[in-house]
Amino acid sequence: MKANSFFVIAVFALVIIGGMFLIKGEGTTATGNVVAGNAQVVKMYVDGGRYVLTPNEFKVGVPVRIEADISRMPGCSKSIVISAFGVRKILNAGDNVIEFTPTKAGTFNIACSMNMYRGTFTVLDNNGAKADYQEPQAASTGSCGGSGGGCGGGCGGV
Amino acid sequence: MNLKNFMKDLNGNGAEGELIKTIFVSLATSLTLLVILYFLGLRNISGLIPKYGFYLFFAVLSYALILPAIRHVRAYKEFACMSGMMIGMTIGMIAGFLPGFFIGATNGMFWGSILGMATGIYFGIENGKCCGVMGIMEGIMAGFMGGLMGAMTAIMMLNDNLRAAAVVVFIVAATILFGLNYMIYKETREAEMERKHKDEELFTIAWSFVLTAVTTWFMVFGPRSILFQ
Repeated sequence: MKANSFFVIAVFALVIIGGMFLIKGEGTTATGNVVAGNAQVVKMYVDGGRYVLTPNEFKVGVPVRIEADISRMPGCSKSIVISAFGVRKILNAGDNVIEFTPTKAGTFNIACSMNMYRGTFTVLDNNGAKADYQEPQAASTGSCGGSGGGCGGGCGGV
Repeated sequence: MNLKNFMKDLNGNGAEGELIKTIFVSLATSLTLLVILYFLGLRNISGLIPKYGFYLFFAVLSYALILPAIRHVRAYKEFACMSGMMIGMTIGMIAGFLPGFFIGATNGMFWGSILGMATGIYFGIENGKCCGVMGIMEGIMAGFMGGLMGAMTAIMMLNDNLRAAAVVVFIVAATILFGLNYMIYKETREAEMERKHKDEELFTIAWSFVLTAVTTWFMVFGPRSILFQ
C-alpha cells in the first residue's frame, strides 16, 4: 500500500471518529415551544424598531405565552431570541406563538437574531416585586431596527 | 498538467505529495488536543459537545484544509503577480471566513469577526507576499472581508438551518482550496518552477495546535455577545 493511500484512509477514519464524538444535536436548546397550562398571555408587536409586549411584566415560574402580531413585525424582527430563557424561534403567520417559563426574576432582553430589533420585559419575583437584576444590553450593532425596515435585505448585504 | 496528473502527483514525492499527509497531521494534532483538553477538564462543562462540538469539529476540519494549501504555497515561495494575488485572496478569504463563521455561530458577530479577520489577514499577508505588495494587499482585503462576512453569515442564519449552512460553507470552501492547490500545481509546472522550501511537520503541528487551542478557548470560555450569554 502506498504511503498516501494510508493517509487517505487515516484522514477518513479521523473524520468519522471525530465526527461521531463531536457532532451531537443541541438537545438542551429550547425552541420557544413549551407546553403551557395557565399561561400568562402577552401580545407582542414591533414599533419604532422595538418590541412592544403588553403586558410587560410576568410572574416568575408561571408559563408565558407570547402571541405576536406578525402583520406588525417587519423583516428579521420575526426571528426572536430571548437568550436568558433559551428561546430561539422564527415566527410566521401560521406559528406566531412563543411559550416559555421564566425561571428567574429581573429585567430581560428580547431581540431579533441579529440584535437589531430589541426590547425588554420584567419578571416579578414570587412576592410580585421587581428584582434588581437587569440583563446587560448589547452594544448597538446596526441601524436597521430604527428605520423599521427589513433587516434581511438592508443590513445583510455586504 | 491536467487534473489527472495532479491527482497522480498527490501520490508523488513532491510538494503535492505532502498535501494529504499534511491534512492527516493537522487533523491528528487537533483531535488529539481536543481529546486531551476534554479529559483535562472540558468534560465538566455542561452541554459542551451539543453546544460547541459541531462547530469545533468543522473548525478543526477547516484548519486541516487551510494548512496544506499554505504549505503548498510556501514550498514554491514566489509566484507571478496574477497567481500570487489569487493565492493571497483565496487563502485570506477562506482563512477569514471559516473561523469567522464557526466562532460567530457560538460567540456572536463581534468576536467571530475579530478572530476571522485576524486569521484571514495574517494568512492572507503571509501567503500573498509570494508576489509582493499586490498579493499582500489582496490578502489583507480578503481576510478583512472574509472574517466579517463569515461571522455575519453565521448570525444571519442563527435561526435558519445554521448547521446545514455550516456544512455547505465547508464543502464550498474545501472545493475552492482544492482548486487553489490545482492552480498552484499547474502554474508551477507550466513555469517549470523548482521547489524552494520544505516545511517540517512541526509547522503543521504547531499551527494546528495554536488554531485549535485558540478556537476552543474562545468557543468555550471566550467573550461572547449578549445573544449567546
